[in-house]
Amino acid sequence: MKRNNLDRLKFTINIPEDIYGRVLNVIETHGLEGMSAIQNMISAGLLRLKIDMIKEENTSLSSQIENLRKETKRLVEENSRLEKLCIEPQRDADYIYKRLEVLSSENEELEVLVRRQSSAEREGN
Amino acid sequence: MAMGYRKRKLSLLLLPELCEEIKKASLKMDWTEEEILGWAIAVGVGGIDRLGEMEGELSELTTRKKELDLELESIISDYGRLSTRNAALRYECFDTLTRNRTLAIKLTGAKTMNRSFKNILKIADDRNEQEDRTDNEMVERYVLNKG
Repeated sequence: MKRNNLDRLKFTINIPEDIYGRVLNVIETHGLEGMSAIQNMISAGLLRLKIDMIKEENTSLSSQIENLRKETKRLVEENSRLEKLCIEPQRDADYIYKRLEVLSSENEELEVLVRRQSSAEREGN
Repeated sequence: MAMGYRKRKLSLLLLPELCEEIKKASLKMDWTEEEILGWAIAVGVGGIDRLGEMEGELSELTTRKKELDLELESIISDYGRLSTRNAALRYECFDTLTRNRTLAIKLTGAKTMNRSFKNILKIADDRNEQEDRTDNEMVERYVLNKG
């Protein structure tokens, strides 16, 4: 690639002879100035390239969205299951906690009585 | 030699805007600028009459891409929210089960101590059968892992 003094860049490429023939044919049939026809061809080629790339990107985006949608659905179901799973142990925790409070308080009173009884027995002896 | 294998040299003077496009495509595709140019001519030679149509197609695809980008952004946000909730629920379940195990062990100890005190004091141990059954269930579920 070389820069010339008209600020255009010069490229030299090798293209298959059949394409070369078609390029000449387009220039002839379109009656455009040679360079203008080639610029249009290149623009069309680059446009096709952009179209193909964006198509690929859209396919990839759709696939990502589809996978995430499945994963999201799975999470919604799992979260619902986990929420249900947490309810019963939480209820049990409340029950055990209350039972422990009752038993601890009763045990404190019983312990006092046991101590009193032991000390009375020691005094009796 | 078969047609297509023979190559012809083509020298072109291109406008800077077009060169810029070629450069961008070359970087994106990881091809040389000459390869991009050769490819663009080979493809574009048949598309010169469809420039308008292709511009329309590109515009539609670009609009669709914007929609997909937004959809993806929204679904990523939902997924993040649900993942966080999932982690919190898993922790909550684990935490409750671990706490219940500790509480159930304490319950066994408290009941044994209670019986032992009553035994010493020769007090009748009036058991509530329903309560006793539920207590045992708790121990089986959280300590013996039978539930």
